[in-house]
Amino acid sequence: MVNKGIYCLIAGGVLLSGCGGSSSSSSTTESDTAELTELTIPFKAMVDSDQMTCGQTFTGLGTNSASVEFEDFRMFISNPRFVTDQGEEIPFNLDADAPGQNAQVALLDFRDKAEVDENGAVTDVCVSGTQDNPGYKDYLKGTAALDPAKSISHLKFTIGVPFELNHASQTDAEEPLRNPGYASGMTWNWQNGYKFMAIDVLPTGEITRPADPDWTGTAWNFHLGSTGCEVVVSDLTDGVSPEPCAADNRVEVSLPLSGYGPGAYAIAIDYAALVSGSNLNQDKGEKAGCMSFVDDPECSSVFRNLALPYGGEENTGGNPNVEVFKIVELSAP
Amino acid sequence: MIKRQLGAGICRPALVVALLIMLTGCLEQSRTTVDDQGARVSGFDWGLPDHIPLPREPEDNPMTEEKFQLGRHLFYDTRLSSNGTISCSSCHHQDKAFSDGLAQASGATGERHPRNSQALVNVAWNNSLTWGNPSLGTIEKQIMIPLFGDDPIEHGLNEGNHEQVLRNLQAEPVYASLFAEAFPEQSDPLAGDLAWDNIVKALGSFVRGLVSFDSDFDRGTMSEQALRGERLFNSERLECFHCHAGYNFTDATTDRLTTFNTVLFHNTGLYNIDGLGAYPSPNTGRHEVTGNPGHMGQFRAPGLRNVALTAPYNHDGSVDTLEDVIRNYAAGGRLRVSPPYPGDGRMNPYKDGFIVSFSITESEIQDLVAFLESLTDQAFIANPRFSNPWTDNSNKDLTP
Repeated sequence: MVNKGIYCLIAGGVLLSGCGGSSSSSSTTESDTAELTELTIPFKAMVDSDQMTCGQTFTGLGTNSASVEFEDFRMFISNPRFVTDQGEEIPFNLDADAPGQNAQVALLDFRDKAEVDENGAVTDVCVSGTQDNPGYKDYLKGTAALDPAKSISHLKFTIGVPFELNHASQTDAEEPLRNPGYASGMTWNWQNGYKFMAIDVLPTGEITRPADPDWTGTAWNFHLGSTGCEVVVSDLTDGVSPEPCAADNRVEVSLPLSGYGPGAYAIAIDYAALVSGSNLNQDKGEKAGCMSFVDDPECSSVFRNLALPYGGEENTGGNPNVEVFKIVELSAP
Repeated sequence: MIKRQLGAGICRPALVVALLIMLTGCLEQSRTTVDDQGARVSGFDWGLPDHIPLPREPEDNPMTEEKFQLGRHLFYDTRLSSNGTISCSSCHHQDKAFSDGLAQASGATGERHPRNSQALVNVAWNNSLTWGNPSLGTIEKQIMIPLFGDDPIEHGLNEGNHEQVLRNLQAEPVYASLFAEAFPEQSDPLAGDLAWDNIVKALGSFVRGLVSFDSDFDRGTMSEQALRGERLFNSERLECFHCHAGYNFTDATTDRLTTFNTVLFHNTGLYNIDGLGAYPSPNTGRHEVTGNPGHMGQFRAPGLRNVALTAPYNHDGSVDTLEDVIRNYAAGGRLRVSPPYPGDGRMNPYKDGFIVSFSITESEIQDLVAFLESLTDQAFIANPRFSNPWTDNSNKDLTP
């Protein structure tokens, strides 16, 4: 760990002596008593108080008390870390050898069912699935240099793929960013990146548009990702980083551990809270649901629940995404 | 004949100022690579006339004849779709300069694409790809969209079928040697970890190698009428040449001599459905990607080589003939009085400054069309190197 700290300092120095740009340095200090501890952080996909499963109908959702079945429920997590009561951040180092994650990013896949053919290949996931989904993943695995002398008060993480990975080639990317591969269906190629979060539902009954009586839809999708990415010039120029996106849309989540010790808690992601302000049988324009674009009428409410700025809305009201993300007791349903 | 002046020369002073600002700024990040040594060096026989600079090749996918040939087989292979119904060539026909003659095509599952299938002509020189996407700088990235995109579904490859699709390709005896020759450094390029990466790189190599510089215009064998049309094209009255600039007739051109890249998109006043400049969704062009209201209706100026073969025109195929394209420009935009999407595009507030309206006679329109027809390259559409390589047609695309 000492060596790693030195490398960090060197890397930081290079960054600083480099050119302008944004420097996001998180300084971590480690005391002598810190021990590298192996940890698993479990997650739960919830719909209010019920765990999400494929093939089941969930009721009472959104402003119209909709009933839905799930098609997709996945998200990329990066930069997990603990925060002490003194505000010190201790990184949670993702285990690059665990399935569905590398050292920088993990893909949580809450779709529990799939169809698998005789070759072991997945032919369909979730909706019509009758077998276990081999890609199912509901935890982060890794290590953290925890110091018994320090009290951990919060867990923080980012929903999203780090910028430099988000705009790299997908066909030779390290899993879980490979397409085709773990990231199949999680790519957003025409925006040049990945869907950070994809939760797609099939509401019972049609989706309609008030302004277009002829239009009907079947799927109400939420796709979170960076938008407004104009990276083409840099792409053509060797060795130059792409320019930032207009809206990076990475969600920073900070959760109080509320006294739970390691191994006693899970992080719940509640779809019911996410869509609490949405009418899941109505679409007011663009794609049905929210695709993260400005001018998508369904995004305002969902983004507010994630504490993400959207369009001209600042969204600085504390940390409202604790409604969507909660620390719960591991043994709870 | 090398009398053609390359480059449009618009906004030169602005470019110089911008360049100076960049140079005094951060050299490390904004330097554009200019390698004069490498300007004429390639592992691939591009077969270009002397006055055409080589296009850039991606560092991680330099051109080779072997990758080009593998890509050609894949381009015409319907097994590269979810249900074996379409190949790249389903929407890109050689006899139409790799467009398809449709306003909008449908994908493997029947979903209609909102935009017109583009011709594939000298795309190696494009500095952005597709109709209006500023986020796509390489053909390799673009190819992921038709293969794996789900909105709309084109080839329909996804997590539930990509393994089967790869197995179907592995079952084709021809591919074993084609992959081995294209990727000799890999022990098992058709089954190994990089199989899909190889497929995309080979397809990219084939599309990059679709080169057309052998028209009447290039050979100096244009008719008198076409020459009159060329003068109109380059006149300040019509202003065509500002956006359709240089040897590929598009300002979205980059080559190895390019020192400053500007990615350009233009609103040509085709729509104005709300009186405030809106184009019908989802075809809002660059705006669809950036969300910037000022980018509404901005599309990349397509190159004009072989344009006479690529009707219907514009991003949604909503204009049937070249004559009508010219008439829209002469009017300074398109006035649509009846559905779908009526509105006065001439009044679109986001319209490019060069779409200014002009007077033109019917015979001048015909002269201009004759010039555009002189950009047709018969050798390109008949070139056996670009044609369907499959002789056994069970499984392969029979689309001409």
